[in-house]
Amino acid sequence: MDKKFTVKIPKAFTISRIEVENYRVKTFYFTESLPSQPGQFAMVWLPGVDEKPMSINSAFPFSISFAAVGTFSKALSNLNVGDKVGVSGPFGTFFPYKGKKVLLVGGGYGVVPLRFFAEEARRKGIVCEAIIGAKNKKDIIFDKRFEKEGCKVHIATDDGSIGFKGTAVALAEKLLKEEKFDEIFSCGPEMMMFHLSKLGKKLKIPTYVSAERYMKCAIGICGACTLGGQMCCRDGTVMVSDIPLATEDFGKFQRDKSGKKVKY
Amino acid sequence: MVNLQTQLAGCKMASPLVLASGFLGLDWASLDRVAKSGAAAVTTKSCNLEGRDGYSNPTVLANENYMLNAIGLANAGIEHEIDEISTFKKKSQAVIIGSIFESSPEKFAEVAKRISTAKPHLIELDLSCPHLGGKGFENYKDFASDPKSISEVVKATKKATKIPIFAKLSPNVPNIGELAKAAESAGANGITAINTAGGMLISADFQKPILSNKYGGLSGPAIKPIALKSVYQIYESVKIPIIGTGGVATGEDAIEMLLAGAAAVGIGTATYHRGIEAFKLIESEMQHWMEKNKSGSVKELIGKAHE
Repeated sequence: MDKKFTVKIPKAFTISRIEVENYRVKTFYFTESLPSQPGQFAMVWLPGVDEKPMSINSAFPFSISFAAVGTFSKALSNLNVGDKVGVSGPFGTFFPYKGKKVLLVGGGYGVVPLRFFAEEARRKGIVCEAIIGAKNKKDIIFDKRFEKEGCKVHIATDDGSIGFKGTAVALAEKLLKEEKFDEIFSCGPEMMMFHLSKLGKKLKIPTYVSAERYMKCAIGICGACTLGGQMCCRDGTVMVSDIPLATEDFGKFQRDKSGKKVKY
Repeated sequence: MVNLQTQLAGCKMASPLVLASGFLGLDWASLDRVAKSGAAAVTTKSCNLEGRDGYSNPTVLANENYMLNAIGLANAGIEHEIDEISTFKKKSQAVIIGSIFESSPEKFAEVAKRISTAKPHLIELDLSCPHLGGKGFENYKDFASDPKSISEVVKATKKATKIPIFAKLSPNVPNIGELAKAAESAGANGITAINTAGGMLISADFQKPILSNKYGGLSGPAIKPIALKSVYQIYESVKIPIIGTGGVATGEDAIEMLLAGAAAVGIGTATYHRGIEAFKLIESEMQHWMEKNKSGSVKELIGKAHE
């Protein structure tokens, strides 16, 4: 066939190493690899529990970083080295390697695909600076990992417990006045990406966001993750921000499991 | 130039290509995108009165040969559907088919009556979801499994609306022609065939069924022969038009479906294998085939394999 599609039938991957990132975020490294690009996701299946999209943290070996916040992620968090999960993918689009200097803006555990990008970017000679935004100090993760990839790191917390006091977008606005960037890449809460997209548009800097909606199929057919007709799982998650900004949905409402609109 | 035009119960279509129900049909924007990508008609995701969350993941599995799904008829309910269809009608000239399901003939009639306020061009009755259960559907029986049940649902919905009714049938039966006949006798204006074939996948790695619902519906290239046989048999049994659906991935597949007796051709799983571009690709492949085979119009191909 003429269009690339990804087989979606889970295979067992074995956990080889676990790193604790903070009070609720863990990174699982697996014995297996999953050739993939920064911004793509895998579907992770826990038999008898659920199957969820997880942002890929690294491809060789495959790894995922996640916060234990819901039924699925808590069950996942309880697994140990040697345990198996079902994995299929990679799915979706990825951050492009175009600009020479990129500003990465991650909210909460939205930093995961951006760190993956920083790692790949370093090999390609792309300079990255990272803004990590969170509610407070204890939610900041990956600052050391970004530094390891040669990134200058800027931290923003809502309560000012560390770094800049205010939102990641406010910090980005400040930084963009002082320095020139070719592109802005973002992953995190939708309202953060929405305001950042508007900022990027105002400053005429190409901005890419990782748009998310409740996902079911992961292969662009069931329609659950529609963002004004764009399937986040296949047309995204990484989209140039003009696309979501042109919809009636982005920054306004998401949809629940049944498809009902839920306002932000 | 070949003529791709066709008709379904008086509804004129620029080509025979129809987006099958269950694919991308959650909101008007997705349906409009599919219409702009070359579908002459689009079918909404099936809806019922109250809406449903559907099943937990895994709900969809797929490879190069097939797709297996047990989404579980997730939908936001009839009010949401009315909004989406009404908006679509303001934005697009394409034909829109409203797909509905429920647990009794009376409830089917109620959804048909309500959806008619949004004025879809056609209404499709999902009589045969092969994997339905859950709240309100504990004792759900497949309406498409016997002529009496089909007849009851078609009669009830016909009384509730003036919009033409298409009955969507299941291949999981011994004689689909008889069931199509029952729908026609009860007043159905057309048949959609086939719904997915029952199936399951088991993980050797985990020694367990993969779908959370265990069983699902199989679609894609693997079921094309089943779909062709069903459409062929239905064409022998009824005079009303058929939307032939099941495993159509190329222009040649679509031509085969017309030859079996379909007046229009449903496309679903091909959007996985070829992307939303599938509609334009299939349309252009049909044109090439028709030019090469000196076939002037879709109309003359319908049912030609029966001659």
